[in-house]
Amino acid sequence: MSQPGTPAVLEMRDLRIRYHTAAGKVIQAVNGISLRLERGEVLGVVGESGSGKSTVGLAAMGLLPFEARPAAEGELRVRNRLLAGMSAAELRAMRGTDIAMVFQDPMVSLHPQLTVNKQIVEVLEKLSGHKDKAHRQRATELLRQVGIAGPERVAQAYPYELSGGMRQRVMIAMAIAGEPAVLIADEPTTALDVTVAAQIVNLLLELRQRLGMAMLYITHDLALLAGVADRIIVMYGGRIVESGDIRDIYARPQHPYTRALLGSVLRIDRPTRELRPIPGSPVDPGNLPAGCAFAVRCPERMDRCTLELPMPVNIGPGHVAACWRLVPVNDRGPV
Amino acid sequence: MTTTELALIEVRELKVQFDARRSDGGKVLLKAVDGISFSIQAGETFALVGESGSGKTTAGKAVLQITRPSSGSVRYAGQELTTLKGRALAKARAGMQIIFQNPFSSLDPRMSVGAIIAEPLRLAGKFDRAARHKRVVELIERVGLPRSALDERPTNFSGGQRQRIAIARSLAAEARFIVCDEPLSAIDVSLQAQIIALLQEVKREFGVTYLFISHDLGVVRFLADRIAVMYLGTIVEHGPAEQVFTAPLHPYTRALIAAVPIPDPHIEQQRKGKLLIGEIPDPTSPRSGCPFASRCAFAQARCATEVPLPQQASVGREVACHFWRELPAPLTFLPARDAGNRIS
Repeated sequence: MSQPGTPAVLEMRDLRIRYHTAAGKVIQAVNGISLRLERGEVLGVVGESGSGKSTVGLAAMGLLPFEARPAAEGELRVRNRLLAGMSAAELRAMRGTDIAMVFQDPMVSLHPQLTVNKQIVEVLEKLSGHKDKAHRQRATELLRQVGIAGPERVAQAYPYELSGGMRQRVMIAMAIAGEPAVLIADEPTTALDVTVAAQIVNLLLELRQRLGMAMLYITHDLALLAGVADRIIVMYGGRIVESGDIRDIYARPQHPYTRALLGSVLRIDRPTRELRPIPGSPVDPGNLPAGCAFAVRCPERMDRCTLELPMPVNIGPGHVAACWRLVPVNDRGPV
Repeated sequence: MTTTELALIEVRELKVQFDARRSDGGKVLLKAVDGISFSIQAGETFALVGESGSGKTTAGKAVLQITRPSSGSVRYAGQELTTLKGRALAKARAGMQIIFQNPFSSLDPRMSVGAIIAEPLRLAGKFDRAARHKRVVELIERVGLPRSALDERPTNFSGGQRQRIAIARSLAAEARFIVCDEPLSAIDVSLQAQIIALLQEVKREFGVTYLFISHDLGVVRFLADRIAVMYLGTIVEHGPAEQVFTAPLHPYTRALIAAVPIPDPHIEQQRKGKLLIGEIPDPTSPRSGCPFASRCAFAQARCATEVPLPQQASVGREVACHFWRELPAPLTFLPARDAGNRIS
């Protein structure tokens, strides 16, 4: 929950991002997102493909595609500094020290022809602004911190010689080199086996403790997120449809979309022959409807839903959802 | 044990080996599949599970003879496939299909969806043009896509829609046996249930038998009748799915099940620290003894030197572990299927 007075390390207010495709189509990727991330907190961002969840992460890093930048509206602050006015040099200085990111596929982010050691040393040079013999040793130390056994050997390896899990550990080592206040983790375990995914999640949580780092954890996997986040936001069509404390949302999901998402997961501990798929496809951010974006797939749809956009209402302590079926707590009258 | 006369698929001592190079340039033999045996009854869903590098995908391809086995036997409907070539193999293999993990590379982007689905019908030569078109329309609608999809290219479709197209193509080929190789891994969790439902319907309606290859044990528990757990090219545990999930015998099976996240913060936030350490070792590195010994929480001296042979634990259940009788009760306990509560 956001407490007034505590400074947020990452803050978004009514963030809107849209861009034009080569075909001239307008993609409304993010349509009014507000969130606060406090020091040391893990905020989970859940959504399907096209929900805008990855765009939110890229925006926080100042890494939006060029064509999306002029159209970004709203406020985005990292450690209380507004991103909008920053120069390219200021943005570069911010990345790594204030905020860093880990992606789904480390093979894309790592340079294939450089050893692990070289790549980490490059990051350290960028962070410190100079070359230093001590960087080599610091690189090995970072590899040890991310749980790599035999860091000296791995430092000399090329990315293709490492497993997916090891590559992700290397990416994490590079991301934490500057001890950032915020780590954006965008599907960091999606390409990994469940066993290795569990190890990576544990590592991230351990680093968060040790470094006091806040995390924005972006995923489509609600099962995995249950062990990671303190609070979550559920995104659909570039908007937040529900947000709140993780235990609240999993135990008492209020938005039909959140309920459908939780219902569609095949739980290994719930041996049932029942299958509850969400019908239809995720909404196309290039073709958003006027009303609630989930309405066409919603089992609880009313006429109003397709015509008017529901506004977020307070439905409990720190628990907010945007659905016409919900009644705000203050309007419920005396109990 | 299963009666082998009725088995649709019968795999015995299957081995697949490749020549590989070590990072220092030396030549080594990579034993991707190292002597596995199982049978699949008609109408059954049989799952091969394990981490990447376990050999499960290679095993699936070797069953279909897409990758030729180094040794061992694969029988389909009673006929040995490993000795066949060319036309004889193609004929024997009619009715066997595969749905690949990555639907973004398995459908020809230059062909229309209609042509992709019609291809097996055209090759079979049983239908004239009009009958073929009628069948293709039936199939595309059966898998839940509109008729208009037939004129489009596969690139216009999402991962889930492409898997629907792949299923329609398998049905056009009159598949009796389909290898599903991680068919859900390119699909959002929220949409996986739709494809699982479709696979179930297809199985019922068309009497298809599946070999389902996956590392997602939640999905496997839902779909599979029997499972085999693979590690470094060998089967470490094998048996009816419900028994394996509710009372896993092998330490690796236990660790795999324990690693599956459950969408409940109360459960998830309490079970930290019970992780399987390390990763599956390099299959080319020399080893003696139990393949899992280096990561096993219960390993003893004997495990490092002596390969555990599969032992029959109960009817239709095998486990390859020296100490399976002596292990403590599993860390995770999953309720049996019938006890499942249906509160949503």
